Amino acid sequence: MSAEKLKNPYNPIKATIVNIIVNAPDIKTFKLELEEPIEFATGQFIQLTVPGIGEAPFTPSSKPGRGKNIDITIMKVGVATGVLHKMKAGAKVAIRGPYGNGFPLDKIRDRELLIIGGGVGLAPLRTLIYEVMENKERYPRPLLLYGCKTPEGILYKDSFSDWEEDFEIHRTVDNPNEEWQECKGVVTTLFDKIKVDTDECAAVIVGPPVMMKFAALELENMGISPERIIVSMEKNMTCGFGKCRHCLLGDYYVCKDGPVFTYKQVKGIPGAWD
Amino acid sequence: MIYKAEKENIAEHLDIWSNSYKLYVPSETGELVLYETKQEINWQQVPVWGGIKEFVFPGRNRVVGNDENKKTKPVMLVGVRGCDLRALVEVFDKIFLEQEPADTVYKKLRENLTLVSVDCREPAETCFCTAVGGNPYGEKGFDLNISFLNDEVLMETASGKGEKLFENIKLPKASKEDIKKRDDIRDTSERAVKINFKRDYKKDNFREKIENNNDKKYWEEKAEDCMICGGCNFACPTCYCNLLDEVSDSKEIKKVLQWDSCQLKGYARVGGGANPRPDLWERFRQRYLCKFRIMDEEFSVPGCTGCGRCISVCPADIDIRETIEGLL
Ligand SMILES: Cc1cc2nc3c(=O)[nH]c(=O)nc-3n(C[C@H](O)[C@H](O)[C@H](O)COP(=O)(O)OP(=O)(O)OC[C@H]3O[C@@H](n4cnc5c(N)ncnc54)[C@H](O)[C@@H]3O)c2cc1C
Ligand code: SF4
Ligand code: SF4
Ligand code: FES
Repeated sequence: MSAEKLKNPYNPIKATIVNIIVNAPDIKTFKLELEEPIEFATGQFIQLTVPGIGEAPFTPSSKPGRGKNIDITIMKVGVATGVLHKMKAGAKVAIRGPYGNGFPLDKIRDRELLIIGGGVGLAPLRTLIYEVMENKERYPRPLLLYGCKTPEGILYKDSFSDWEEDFEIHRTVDNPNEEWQECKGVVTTLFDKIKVDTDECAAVIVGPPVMMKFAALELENMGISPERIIVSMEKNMTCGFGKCRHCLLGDYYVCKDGPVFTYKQVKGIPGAWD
Repeated sequence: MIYKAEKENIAEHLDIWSNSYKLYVPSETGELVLYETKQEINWQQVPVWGGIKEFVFPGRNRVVGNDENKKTKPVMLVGVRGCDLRALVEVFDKIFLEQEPADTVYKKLRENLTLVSVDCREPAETCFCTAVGGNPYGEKGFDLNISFLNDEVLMETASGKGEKLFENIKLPKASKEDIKKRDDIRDTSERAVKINFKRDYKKDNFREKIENNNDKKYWEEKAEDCMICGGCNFACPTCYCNLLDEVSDSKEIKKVLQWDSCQLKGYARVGGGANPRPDLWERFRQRYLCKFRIMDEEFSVPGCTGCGRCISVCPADIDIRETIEGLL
């Protein structure tokens, strides 16, 4: 018998949506105020309860650390996210977590760091951008490559000018409009524009599975070791802490051994990118 | 401690224990033997449907929004089998108690349970515990194990909970000869089980054989008749895949944990529709991979204890032994 009373791990902390920001068509950032503080690290995720509808995993997109206020940037793709997108400020939700390992700071600090985002994948990466900006001396040369379907789809449009002070930034879209003056094409087309020390640098990729697959493959071909290519995997998740088996990827539990993996760990596993 | 009693005395003992415990015994209900609160006990027919799983991890259970402090009468489960005990101790307890965070709902049900196991003397044709590292009697995890000899029974306690049952019941200790008799009977039962599947998961290397066979044709052929009902998972004492059903109302957060099945198409589907295992043969193979590789790696025992329930339950007559045999 343990002296301390164990906490029911399924029991979430109640939260209120205090503000909703429209980032892009089908993508909104929900600003939450929690009844109790949580502490999360960059790349960790939480399970969000949409009352009466379901739960879904999301990575907070606000500054990592401890607090009662977190942001979650959510793309509308199905049932739970569809209901969320209809919610208004003041609505009640709940969250539990944080779960998972987060980005491996020991593998990315003190190196040239290539952050590669696709679409809504920039949301989890924003926590890493905060990490870089807060610990500048540990990131000698950070680069940010971002790809989106359309210019309208770009997240955090106003933040890029701030980030430009610390990051070398390259952006591309698949379908440009008339105003778009940056690159056109998938995110890997940006690789021609950058110069990195492939023997030393680290890369973190977050985006749709196909994008991560091809970006990682390309980086490996450029000579970056799969151990220094880092990806965040999306798999079906119920519990978030190793008790439902939904997230199994080979022998790994994506929820607790991940969601962040090295490309080396996952590249050969069937179904990894499906 | 191993005590010796007369067969007839068991009813009296159970009667005494029923004062302090809610008793569930294996009894005939239609064609099946289920754990029921009835009086008549069917000690030998296997499998006992439902098994232990339902008592610690019910098919649908409110895990958030119920009264966690509510006191419940201790439950005594009588007639538990070696295969089910193994699944409970080697898989369920590890996942839900030892690996953090502990599942507090499971913990409460588990601690409330007193397990009285019984040696199998009449294994069913579907039993194959001996092929997967088990035996047709309780080895660990029971509080009290009952072995029927011919006119007598041996009662072995293996925990404080078990020993407590004999606080007010005085019985002689079993002699060396009694224990020898028990072991001879156990040997006979073991031999009877072995006939059902003359293989050994270690010697015949089930794990590697399954891992190395990714032949779509083979698995498609085996899965051909599968109706994707999930019965094999629901009946299995080691399967615990689950979903959280969100049933909150405007007042209260409520969540129900319910069993899920890896054979169902939507099992691993992610938001938006991507699916790592859209085809049946991949999901069918995954069940074998999970049991003989992933669980073996994780728990150091395979995720199959040879209870045979998946064989009896399958509407398509798919037999796990035949699927494995075809790979050897
Ligand atoms: C670690 C992690 C972090 C994430 N971070 C973010 C993030 O920051 N931002 C973001 O936008 N997204 C993120 N995602 C993705 C997000 O979790 C999904 O988009 C979300 O779960 C979709 O929920 P939904 O109910 O709207 O989708 P749906 O497609 O409706 O369904 C989601 C779930 O319901 C079940 N389901 C629905 N329909 C069926 C069916 N027909 N058959 C069977 N099952 C079905 C599936 O099990 C599925 O898991 C993350 C995912 C993971 C794993
Ligand atoms: S019980 Fe039989 S038919 Fe049902 S899912 Fe399992 S293998 Fe398929
Ligand atoms: S796989 Fe079948 S035989 Fe093995 S433990 Fe599960 S139900 Fe029993
Ligand atoms: S999400 Fe439940 S085990 Fe990983």
